[in-house]
Amino acid sequence: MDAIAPGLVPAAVRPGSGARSWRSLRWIGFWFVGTILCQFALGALLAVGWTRERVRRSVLVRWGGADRSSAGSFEAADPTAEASTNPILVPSTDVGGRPASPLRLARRVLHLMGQGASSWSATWLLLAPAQILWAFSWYAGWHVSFAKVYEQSDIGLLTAGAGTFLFLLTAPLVVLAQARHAVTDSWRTAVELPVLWRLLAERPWSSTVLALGYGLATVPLTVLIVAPLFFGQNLEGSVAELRQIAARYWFWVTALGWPLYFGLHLAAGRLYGCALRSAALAGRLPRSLLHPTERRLLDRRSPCRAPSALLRRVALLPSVGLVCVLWFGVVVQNYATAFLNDRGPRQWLNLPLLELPWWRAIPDGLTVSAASESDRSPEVRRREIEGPGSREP
Amino acid sequence: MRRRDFLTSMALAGMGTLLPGRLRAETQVASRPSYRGPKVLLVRFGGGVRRRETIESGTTHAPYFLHELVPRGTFFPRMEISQLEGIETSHGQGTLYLLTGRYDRYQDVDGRFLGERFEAQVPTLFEYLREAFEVPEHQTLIVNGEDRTDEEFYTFSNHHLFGVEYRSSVLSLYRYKTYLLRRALRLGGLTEIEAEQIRRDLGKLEALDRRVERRSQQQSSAIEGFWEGWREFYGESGLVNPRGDALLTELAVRALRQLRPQLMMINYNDPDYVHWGNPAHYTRGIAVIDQGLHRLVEAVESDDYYRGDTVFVIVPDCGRDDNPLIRVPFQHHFNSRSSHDIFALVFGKGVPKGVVVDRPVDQISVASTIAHLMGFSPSFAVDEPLAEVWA
Repeated sequence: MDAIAPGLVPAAVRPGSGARSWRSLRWIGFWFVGTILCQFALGALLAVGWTRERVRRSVLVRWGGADRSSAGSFEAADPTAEASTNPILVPSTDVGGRPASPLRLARRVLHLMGQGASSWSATWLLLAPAQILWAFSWYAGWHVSFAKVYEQSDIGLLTAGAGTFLFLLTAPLVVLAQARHAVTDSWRTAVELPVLWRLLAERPWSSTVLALGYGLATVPLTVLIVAPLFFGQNLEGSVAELRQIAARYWFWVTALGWPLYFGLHLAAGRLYGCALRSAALAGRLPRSLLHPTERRLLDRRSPCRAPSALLRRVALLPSVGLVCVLWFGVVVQNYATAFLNDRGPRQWLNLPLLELPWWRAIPDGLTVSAASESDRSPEVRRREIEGPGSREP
Repeated sequence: MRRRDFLTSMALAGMGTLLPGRLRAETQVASRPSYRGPKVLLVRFGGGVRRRETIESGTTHAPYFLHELVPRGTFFPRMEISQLEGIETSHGQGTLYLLTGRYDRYQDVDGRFLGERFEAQVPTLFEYLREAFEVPEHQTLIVNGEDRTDEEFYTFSNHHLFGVEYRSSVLSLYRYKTYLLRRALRLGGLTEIEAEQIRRDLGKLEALDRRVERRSQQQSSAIEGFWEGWREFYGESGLVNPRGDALLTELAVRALRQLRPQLMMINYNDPDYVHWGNPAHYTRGIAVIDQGLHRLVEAVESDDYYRGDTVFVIVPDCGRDDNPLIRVPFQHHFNSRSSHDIFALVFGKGVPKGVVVDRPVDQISVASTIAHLMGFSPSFAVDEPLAEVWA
């Protein structure tokens, strides 16, 4: 524990005296702080960096054989691991035991935002072609339709299909890319698609389970994104009251989404670690393709069990098919939410569970309900404009 | 009308009520009087519109309608679709409430999810008119949009005393396409493969009209002549003529000139494209309808046949939602309070000018109002006309 957060854990609650309670409190704090951060785009970026740091930590701990002291000693030799161990964002002291200061807080925040921006940009590079095609299919496809040139209405369908095809190719690799990027801290490793594919092929069923996790996690969030369409009907009140209702609602949506985001990325990190190790040690992934950090990690113990070669070969094709189907479910849900509660460009250009964990969607033009306004308007009364009883001949 | 003619028609009408629609139509053709009342243009300001973007002066996108037309007639800013159990606020339902004068529950006849192929169980205004007067089919028109083929078939009801023999005609791109396909087969000069493809395409289009499978699908000669003129002017590609609600305006204006309808309904619908999340689709759709109204009014006023002898009835099919918590508050019309809030304007021959009726009125009153204006009795509609229109 000391190696993780030296000086942070009070002596009275160190291992053997309520450490579990303390850990629970820390995770509650982690959840709360993350939920607050993810209310805004910049905060979500910081949360991405924070998650990335935790994924890295998780992979190191697992490769260290769940021995936190060995992971700590590994990190002590790792120049990228500065102050990276504390789950509540900022330690009271750093790894070297020096007290934290406001300047260190600011550096820490900037560091995490930098990490987040790096991770987000790599993810977006992989997903952008698909997402841009989706956005085009929706707006241009329907602009074509609005001009009623139905003979060209296939434009929308074809671009949607092309975007979906690209997404199905890249999404299963993106989740591994994010984990690899987190561990190696190298942007290049996040876009080495041949390596990522080998990692996926090494653990096909685990990849399927991860895709299932993303698909299932999307469902309650889809329901919550669409829900304002129903409970927002006939809602009346001042602008301030309506904004408060909206803010509260999206806070709780984020409170669900943030732990799902975090959990899925941790799971992806675990999958990455096990797949890398078994593929590299079996020679299916040449060491020359590995990042130096990854080569060092191969020397560590790992609790991951290597899959049988037969199972791996037999499972590959059906699991790839299943992975595509599961990710397609994510695509379908995205189109459904666009139809029911269109949130503008971010509907297409940001998938919160994969990219920025940012769900809050309070309309910019939130105004008083039109119905309540017209009920209050005084002008509905009988009047004569051209004199009483005038008629056309 | 002379007393003998009156007594004869009453006797025949009495006997006729015992006969099904077709036999009644054949029996009564000699005794049905000519129509001498005002022409009526029923404009569905449709696709679902809110009062805020139409009739509220600070936020309207229909300035011609609000500032030029409303002062010319009797205005009902508090028309509503009743909040009855099972009564939905959507386009097909709203159109049938207007045409039948009743709030009925409608379900897709094939049970399709989100399907809107409805069949009225009571007669429509067109059927009442044609049953009461000698009005040919091509002079009772529905002008319909190209993406709502389900509404092509509101031309007649399933009522055993009325039905297909009193149906109206429809002008739409769907009908134009069937005309072109039949024309291609008629002219010949096709290879066997081409002819087979055309027969298949025509079969698919004709299959949409499931109630008339064994009846000849031919449109009347007047309608065929209308489409021939359209084809000569706009060609066959569909890329020259206007599209969307601008197309409906063009069809309606041409129909006024060529077909001389006595009762015509124009089913505007572009505002509904806001379902796809772009607010500009909605406001632009309202503006397009506003421009269409301008053209229609000009066409009527420049035609001796219609000037001074026409009544406009402008009313939405439904309202839209008003949801402050989503980015596009009017994206849908899911039975919220504001989706029941509409309006109506009646102006023209014999209608008081500059009158605003400040009381809630029902959408279904439109049918009995039109019936009263045109001089027939809508036996199966709710008889609550808007009496201010002829006060």
